[in-house]
Amino acid sequence: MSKRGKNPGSSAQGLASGTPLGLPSPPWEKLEIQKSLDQNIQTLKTIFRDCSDMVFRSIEIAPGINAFIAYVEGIVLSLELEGHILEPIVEAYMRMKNEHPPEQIKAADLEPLENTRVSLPQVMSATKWIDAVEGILNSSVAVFVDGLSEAHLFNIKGGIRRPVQEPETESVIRGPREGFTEMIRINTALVRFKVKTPNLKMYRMVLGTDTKTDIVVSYIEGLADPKMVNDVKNRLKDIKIDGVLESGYIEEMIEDHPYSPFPQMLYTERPDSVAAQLLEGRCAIFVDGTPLVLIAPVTFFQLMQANEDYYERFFITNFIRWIRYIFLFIALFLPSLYIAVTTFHQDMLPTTLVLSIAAAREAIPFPALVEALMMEISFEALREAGIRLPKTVGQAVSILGALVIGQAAVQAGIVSAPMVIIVSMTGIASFTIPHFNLAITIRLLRFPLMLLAGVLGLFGIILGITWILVHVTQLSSLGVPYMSGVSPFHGQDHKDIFVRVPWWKMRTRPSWLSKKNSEREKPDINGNPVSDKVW
Amino acid sequence: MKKIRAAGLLLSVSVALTGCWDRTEINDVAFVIGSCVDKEGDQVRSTLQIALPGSLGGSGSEGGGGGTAGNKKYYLESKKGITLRNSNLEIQAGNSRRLSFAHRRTLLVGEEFAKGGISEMLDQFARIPQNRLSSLVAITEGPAYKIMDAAAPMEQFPSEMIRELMNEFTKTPVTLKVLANDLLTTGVDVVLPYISLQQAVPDNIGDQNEKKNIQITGLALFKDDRLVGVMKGPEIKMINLAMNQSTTYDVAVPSPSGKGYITITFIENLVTLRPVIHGDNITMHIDILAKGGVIENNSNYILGDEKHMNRLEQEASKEIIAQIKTGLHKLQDQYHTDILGFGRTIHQKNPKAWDRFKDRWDELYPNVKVVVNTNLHIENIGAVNKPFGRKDVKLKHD
Repeated sequence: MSKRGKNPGSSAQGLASGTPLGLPSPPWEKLEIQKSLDQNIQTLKTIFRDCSDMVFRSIEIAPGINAFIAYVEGIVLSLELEGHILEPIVEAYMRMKNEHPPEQIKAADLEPLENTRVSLPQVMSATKWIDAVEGILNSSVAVFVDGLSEAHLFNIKGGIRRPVQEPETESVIRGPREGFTEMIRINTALVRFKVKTPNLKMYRMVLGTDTKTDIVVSYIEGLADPKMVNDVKNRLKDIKIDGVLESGYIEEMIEDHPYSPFPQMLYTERPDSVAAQLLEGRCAIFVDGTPLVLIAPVTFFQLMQANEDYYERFFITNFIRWIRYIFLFIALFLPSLYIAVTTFHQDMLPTTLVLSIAAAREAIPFPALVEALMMEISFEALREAGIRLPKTVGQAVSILGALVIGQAAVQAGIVSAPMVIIVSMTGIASFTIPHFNLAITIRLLRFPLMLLAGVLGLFGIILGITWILVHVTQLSSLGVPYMSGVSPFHGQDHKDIFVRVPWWKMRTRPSWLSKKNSEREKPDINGNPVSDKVW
Repeated sequence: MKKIRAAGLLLSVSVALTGCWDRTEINDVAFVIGSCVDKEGDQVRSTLQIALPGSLGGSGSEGGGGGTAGNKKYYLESKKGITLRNSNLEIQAGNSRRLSFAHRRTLLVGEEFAKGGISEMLDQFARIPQNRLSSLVAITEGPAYKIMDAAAPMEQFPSEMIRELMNEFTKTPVTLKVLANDLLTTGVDVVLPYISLQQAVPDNIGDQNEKKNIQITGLALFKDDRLVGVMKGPEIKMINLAMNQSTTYDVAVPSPSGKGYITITFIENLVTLRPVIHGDNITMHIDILAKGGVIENNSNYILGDEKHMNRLEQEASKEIIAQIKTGLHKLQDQYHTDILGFGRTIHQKNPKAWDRFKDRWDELYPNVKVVVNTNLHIENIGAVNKPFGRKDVKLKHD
């Protein structure tokens, strides 16, 4: 549980090189683009040999002037190639050809071409091969012109990506329906739609020597603690890895306590959640290629809150929040309590209950601990199978699972009916936890608790609880204590921990996040809450 | 660091080695749900009623489930020993599962045993925490184990039925804790419910075994820890009331109109004792406050108006006072037991007087004068105010 060392300084060096980590740098890394088109074509084809998705095309853009086009098929909008790139270039060169002989066309003439003729947002020119290659791989079309020691790069990012859809893992009854996609620019745009202030910063960096994944650290300047923001940036810069395919890669690399089972970051695919977290002064980390955005720092209680808590009326929210906390305890302790009580403390149950449990367990061949472990593990397996299965067979497995685990096992006398009730209660309980990464932690911790209960009874459970509490109170997320609000105690932050006060009383941001600018709401002129007004 | 981790791992292994010493699976436990104490010669006979989970009809237990004795959901096991614990240990020796006394509902004590004194058996209940002091205690007519094996068709076990009966009978049922407390308190004598078997139906109906019913038929009266007598008859209800232990009680009042009875049930009552002391003259006032309603009127008396209700309340008072006096007369003159706790009341309300009385309380007790003050409210006469099913001509207005 050692804290990850924080050393700022070393920046993202070497990431620009196009080689996988561990391989020697390629011979073309330091080469410059030549004037001779034939030579350039030769180099380009050597670099991209055996890349069947590359498109190479020679054209004559003006009489006597040859050019060469290269791009990766599928990642550019090839429809725009003709109208937005080729036509303006041809036109420009025709004009230039008319005015000057081709030998006189120089690099300096290119700039007006980029600025005036080509109606594309991102146009660059590269003199080094390494930049040209990076541009081509980043959805640019490279145009080499005979006699020019430069490549024009026209970025027409395209290809087919998933559109904005309703998020599947975080569905709500009341609330926005849009979710993040795999494209980082769409994702940042979805947040920008909601938070319209220039203070919303989107700090970009590139991680992964091979994947060159775009990462955007987003925060609201003035609200987020600058030290914390720097901390996040520095930790990200320290990462040297070949590829980042999902936000989970960087979550594990930058969290405070890598050996803790408890999640120290939150992920969401909802722009409204991200906007809400940013407004409280947190950081969001977007990763290109995944719809899941990381949010840090988080507290334990935040992982018990769903975004709908803030959209539904506060009475309902509070009721549901308490239900969630009750079921959190059920999810964590019910099987171990059952084991402890039936194998050590039969005196604790009401007589009729103990007799009916005894009656149900009469013909069961296994001790309660083995029975419980068996059932819990098969439940976890069923759940896992349910996720991995092709949707078409899912139904078959659920029927099988219900019949085998639910009924046949009881009738065959392998497990007792109370155990089935306990396992299903626990299963349902673990699904009431709004964030899946906390739910899976709770499910995991259940097993050591069950073993402790089987060995030491209630005493073992108390040992387990003590260990969990001690561990959780010394955890932190980006330096913010995990149990903030309760330990260390902040009275005013209890407005949004176990209860959620109505919005007209939610005057301040959590004190552990924004120490300077904590006011988020003003009472009306007379100092009364808005809802006291008679409309 | 590595060494510390290795040491930690080794230590955690030792936890698993030491564990489980008192682990007992629920199907290795014999749940004692009732027990009986009887005297046999010089020895103590202990009879335990043990639940048979196998015949309680849990799912999956049809196939397995140990040796069941007939259709019964329990079986009795009885052994003799020099002490109660010894005889229980004898039973354990002949039982494949560990006896657990934590769920004992009732403890029945045979009449013979109780006459010899009950305090010496109490120690074993308190010494081991597993034995709950919440078991209810009752005295039985004849040997206790006979009652334990009586038919209790309504409940799963006879002991459960006795517990329900006792919960109905008094406001605070006598548990082992209450019993020990009463034994140790000065100025009050112990009283326990007296349980016997009653004919449930006339002889010529039904199966012979099912004919006897468990019932509370009297009050077992103690002097110190010895049973000195049993009070039976209609007075026990009123003595119960005077002890402020009555939950609900019914009084059948002779109708003021002559023929028939009007039955009143009192659902709420509060009884307080109030001593008035002049020298050695002690007068005990029993103040009864009760609310209730009419549940039957088989006479032709009309209950509709206030005058009639007042008259009825007076008649009910007379009935209650008469019965309490009869009962108290028996207690004071015949059994000399102070189960109402007159002594305790004086001790609490007038400690100085009690200091004078306490050494000769046994002599003074029979001479305590008793005044019963009643304050009855009949608040509800039911759904009909005139006698139901009678022609108006026969109704009596006075």
